[in-house]
Amino acid sequence: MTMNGALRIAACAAVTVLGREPATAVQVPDSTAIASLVAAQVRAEHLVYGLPNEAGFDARQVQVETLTTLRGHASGDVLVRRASAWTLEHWHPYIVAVVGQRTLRLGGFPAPELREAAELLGEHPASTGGARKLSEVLATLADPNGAQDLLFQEDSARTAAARAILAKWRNVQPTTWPADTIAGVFGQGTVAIRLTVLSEAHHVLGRPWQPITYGFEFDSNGRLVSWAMHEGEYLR
Amino acid sequence: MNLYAYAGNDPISYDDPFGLAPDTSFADDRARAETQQCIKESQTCAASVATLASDKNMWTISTGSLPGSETGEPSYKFSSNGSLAGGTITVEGDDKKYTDLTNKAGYEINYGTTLNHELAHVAGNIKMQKSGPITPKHHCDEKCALKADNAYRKEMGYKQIKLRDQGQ
Repeated sequence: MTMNGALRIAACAAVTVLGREPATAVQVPDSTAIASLVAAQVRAEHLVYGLPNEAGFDARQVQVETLTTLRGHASGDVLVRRASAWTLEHWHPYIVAVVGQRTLRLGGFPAPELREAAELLGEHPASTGGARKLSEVLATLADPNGAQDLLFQEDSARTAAARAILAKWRNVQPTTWPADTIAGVFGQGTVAIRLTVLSEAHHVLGRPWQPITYGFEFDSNGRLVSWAMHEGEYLR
Repeated sequence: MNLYAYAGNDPISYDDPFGLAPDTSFADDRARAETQQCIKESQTCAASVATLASDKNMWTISTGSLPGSETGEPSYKFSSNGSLAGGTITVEGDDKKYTDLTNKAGYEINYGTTLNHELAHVAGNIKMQKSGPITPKHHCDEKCALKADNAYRKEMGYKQIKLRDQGQ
């Protein structure tokens, strides 16, 4: 059943993604800088909820790991990293992308910089199939649960466990929940992609799966124009 | 934020019949009452509280509001040499949230289960620190806390959480 986020990224967009170690040309990002950035975000979220900040939550309490490297056609390779507040056992993780000196706040942050990420990737699909693959990559980057384990609809054929999880979702999903769809034709206007991914929330008791629906709109040249996400309740 | 304001800026210790003094305090009435109840009803909970109380650092139990489906969270202070220097356990105070989560999860989730679970994390880390600094790879994670979680559930007659539910 496990579908490691890094592998998932590599699998879902073979055209644009390299599931490999960074090339020598990639500047190795500073994990401490990312940890500091995420620690500051955690403190801000603590502030909102009135949680104790007297402890001065700091970078030492953030673990940074590499998810994968995406080949960026525009600005060089994009290193995707997951940062987890390991001392806060139930706190959601964060996804950060690094391109050279630039750092993008993605999944887990209040306003994931997904359009910027799409621009840096520089992948402009010319087919609906390509747009769907890119959408899956973008959904992975925006995942609020740290892209630990993700299941897309086509994953139902992968394993019995994946089939069981997806079947469970189909059984309980509200009748009004929108189905995956692709609307429009490149070169003739915008193309809209809607997809639902099941994301396993490792930081939540019982590790429930969470349905998350994304909507992506691409212009006729394949550039991401806008996007939105709708987080459903955990499957228990 | 002054978590000790409830006690007139003096950590509560004098009226503690459970031996928590001097290194465990409460930020509010409910945290105190629920902890006392937890100690009274459960040896597991009492053992965890005793670990906190015997630690040289100050640990505070607080009732608060947590994001999303979270019901409890420990936060830690670290000294400059990386050792634990106390901290706060925050437990969700919204009972409706517990009702909703219990109905969805299929097992009991309430203030007591949450408090016991978070106490297990902290007590586990205090113990583990004796064999080396607390790190991402050496700390009382969910698998560690789940042992105490289920021990408490057994004492309370609640349904156990299966290890596979945690992906273990």
